[in-house]
Amino acid sequence: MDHQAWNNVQEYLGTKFSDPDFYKNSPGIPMTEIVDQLHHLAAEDKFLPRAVAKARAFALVCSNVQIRLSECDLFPGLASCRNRVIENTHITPWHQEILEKHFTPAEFKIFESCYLSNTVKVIPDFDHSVPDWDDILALGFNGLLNRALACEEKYLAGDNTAEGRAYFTAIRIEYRAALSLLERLIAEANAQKLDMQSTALRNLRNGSAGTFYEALLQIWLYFQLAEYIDVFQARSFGNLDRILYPYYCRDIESGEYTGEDIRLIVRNFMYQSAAIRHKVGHPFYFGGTDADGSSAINELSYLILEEYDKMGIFDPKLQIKVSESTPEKFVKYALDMIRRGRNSIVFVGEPCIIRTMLKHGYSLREAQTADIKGCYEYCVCGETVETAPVTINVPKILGLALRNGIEILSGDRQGIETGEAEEFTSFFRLYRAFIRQLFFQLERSMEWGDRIETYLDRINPSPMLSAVFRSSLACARDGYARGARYNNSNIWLCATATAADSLMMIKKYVYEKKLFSLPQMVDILDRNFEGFENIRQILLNDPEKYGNNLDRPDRIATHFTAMVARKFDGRKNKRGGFYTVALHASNRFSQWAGHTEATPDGRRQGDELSKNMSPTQGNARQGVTSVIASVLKFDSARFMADLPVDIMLHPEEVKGENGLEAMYMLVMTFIKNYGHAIHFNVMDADRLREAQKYPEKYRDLQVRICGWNELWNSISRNEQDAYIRQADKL
Amino acid sequence: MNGMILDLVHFSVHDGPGIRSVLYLKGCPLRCIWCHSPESQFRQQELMFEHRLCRRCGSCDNLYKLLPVNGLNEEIKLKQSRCPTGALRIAGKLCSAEMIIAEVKKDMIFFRESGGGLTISGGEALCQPDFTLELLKLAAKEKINCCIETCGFGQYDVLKRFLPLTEIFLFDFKAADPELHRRLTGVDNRLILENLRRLASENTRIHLRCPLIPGVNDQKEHLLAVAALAEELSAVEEVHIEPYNPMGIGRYRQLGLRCEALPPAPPSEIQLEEYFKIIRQNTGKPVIQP
Repeated sequence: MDHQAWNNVQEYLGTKFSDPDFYKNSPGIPMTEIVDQLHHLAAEDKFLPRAVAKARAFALVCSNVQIRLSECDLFPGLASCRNRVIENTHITPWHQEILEKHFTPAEFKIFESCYLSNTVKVIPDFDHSVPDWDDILALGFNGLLNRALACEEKYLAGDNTAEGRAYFTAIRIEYRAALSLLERLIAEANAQKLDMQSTALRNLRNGSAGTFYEALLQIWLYFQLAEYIDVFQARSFGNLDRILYPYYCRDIESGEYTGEDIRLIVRNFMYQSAAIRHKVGHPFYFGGTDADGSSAINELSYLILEEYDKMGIFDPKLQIKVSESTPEKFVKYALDMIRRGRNSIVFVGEPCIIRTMLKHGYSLREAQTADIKGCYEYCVCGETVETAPVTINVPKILGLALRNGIEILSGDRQGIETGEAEEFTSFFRLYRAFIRQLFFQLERSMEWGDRIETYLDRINPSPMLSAVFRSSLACARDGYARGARYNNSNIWLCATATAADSLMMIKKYVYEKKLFSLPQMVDILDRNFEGFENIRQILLNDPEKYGNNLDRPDRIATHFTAMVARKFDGRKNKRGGFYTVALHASNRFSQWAGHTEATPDGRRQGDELSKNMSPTQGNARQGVTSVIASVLKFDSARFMADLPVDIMLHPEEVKGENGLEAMYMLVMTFIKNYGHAIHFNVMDADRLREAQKYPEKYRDLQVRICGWNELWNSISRNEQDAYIRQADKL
Repeated sequence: MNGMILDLVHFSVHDGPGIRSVLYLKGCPLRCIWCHSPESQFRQQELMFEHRLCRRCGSCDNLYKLLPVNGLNEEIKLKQSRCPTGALRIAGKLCSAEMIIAEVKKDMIFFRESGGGLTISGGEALCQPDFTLELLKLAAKEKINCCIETCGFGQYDVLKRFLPLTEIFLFDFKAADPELHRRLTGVDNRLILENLRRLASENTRIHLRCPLIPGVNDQKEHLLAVAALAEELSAVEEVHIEPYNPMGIGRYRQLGLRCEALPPAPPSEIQLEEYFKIIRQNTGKPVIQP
């Protein structure tokens, strides 16, 4: 391989996804023109089966998208990257159609009210599935197409339906379009005399990946087509160290590539992802457990981690499956990276995954080989289409209980009548009302979710994904329409700690200390604490909050979440799977802050909510062991969708050998006690203040947000202040 | 049995092996001029005021203006309790040994994994000997290993009582010259050294802790004495360099007290390197900065 100076490559990749003129002189037509053509096509194909219409749109993009290759870029550029044009031209109108058809105007009004006020969001979700990377690599586009054709032949020979026939037609169209795109790329590579790229592309066109580079190129191409043209997120690059290891070994042994070549390819691949700057990052994961119980961490795992470390990037985001067999050296290397600021890493506990999946009826091998996806969720590898259709803002549900079902900011009746504040003569009565409101919202949201999920294949049929699932091919059903073997849907409960703290403060100050009545408290909240700053400070600074390993607030948090899990975990969905519960916020902790009214824990409207199952920023006053101990009080087996915790440590706490050892012990204690996922920020409040004052000196300072990283300078002042507040408490 | 404590801090990694909970007792016989927690010196409760948290709401009847306050009566405590932000706080509270151990037990899963436990620090354990002994006994019952951080100034009999229940003594050595020691801490070092040597002759483990303050006690003679002591006493397993931490300056202010002029900054990297070099050249024991 020719090793270009890395700086040149970085510079090129830095513009690949951000320069609007990058494809100016490239073969193909601009995306704006493609969009026009797609609109025409959508109108033309109005009466075609949705899958076929989608596939034709896919093919149109593949035939015309501008492409660009370069001697310093191992991975082809497609102008469709970051431009999910089919989403606007086809999917959004199809979604709207389903809503109009299956919701009455009155229902839609409430649906929309809940959505706009961030009380509850119910969406068609296509962003949380992982394709079968093993099959993609083994077969390639050509092999996947041939396999689909064989299945189609078999299907047509027996009983078949119009829908089934359309399903196969769509796969044929999309995979042939993918192969045509490869032809275009090959032609361009030849024109530029890029022999290495040309050879690799040709091998992928004719068969499947044979080398390490071809394997990554295959993954890259599939990802580009899936994410940006077929509009579903391939929500992980997969278990990269495991799936690439055979290629690595073969190439090193045969002399096809040297170790340095492999490093260059890996760097180039990862930097592509970094340069895309996807908002919530794009993951892959390390490790896992082999059938004999030994760790799947190998030589390649270290190589990839080392290259990642050198680059200081935060996308792709890394996930490490950890069990007792995971080499201590590997975990400690990752922890050392974290304390040096390279903290786009999460540790995901295999004991938790195995126990939880066994409890939910999966086999041991399925549990051992589970994919990690998204931020830190897990599912059966290569057999799962999972969605996250329902997200609930738990503090706002408490707000509904306080106001007899009325959402304060809109004035709409979003909840049921459970009584006025003055009727709650005891904490128990209020708590019961809260649970009733919560269950009502969940029942209704899941019913809405079921309605939408029944038609996911009408909103966004996914031939590209469906063809990689053998079960989908066998039954001729889209992956999102019971095509996969496992088809679960998640319910996300957001800001659980904020809700638990709020309930604790009500219990303490209304019913125990009787500082004010509940109606008085509601009035104070309605005013956003205006004129009541002293009271707000009392509530805010009260240390009896979740995350400090204190019985009362922790019991509130575990109690109502367990009630939700007992009632809703395992309930059947409309796609042949079941619902699972997540205590996961994603970016809602900040996104929803503005629409979440003041809460009884002293939080004003606009202030951040709590994230994941972590204490609200600034409330962890008893150290990291207390935070972890609080989280471990939850039965992680009840929350298969996920139960992550965010930890902040001071640099002084983790310096030196002792510090690294301590971090390792924290992780292993968490993992061995069935903790699900844990990740870290190592921060010093003074340094953060300086970074606020002199952002130019801290251009590469990263911060772990929720399940991904962002640059300190790119987050809002409010978010920065929240991190500083928490760091001050360390 | 009750004792006066400052705080129980979970997750310490630099006060003994593994992940530890550290109990800071209140009351100390020494008055080290560099003390970074001056609120630990006096046994009785004290008032502290952190001005950046104050909203000037007047809830405390401007109590903070009376600092320093000698002795807290009920009226002062009542006014302090009205502070909504925690700007005004009381340093020191009475706690039973049982309550403390119950709190420490919460971290058992971390102790088991890491070989950690409880470290009794301060302040000074020798100032509350019965309370410390009670803590050690209760911890032993729960199979929680204990370390004691001590300045060594007290009756040896007390130290001896702690011995069988203490995994490691984190023993401070602050100045080799007795007169300098008196000037810097309020007492000379003869009793301290005697206790150290006696302790070292028993079957015990000692980590020698050496606070180093630039221009105050970091003379070469002292560093050589540290190394010599480590070499002399086989019970000394490690030498810990504790670079000066200026956070005490702010704490004196919070107490409403003046402090002697102290360096505003910790030792530089170069100074630290020099400390390590001199000590390491003269002892075979590990020299670390926890």
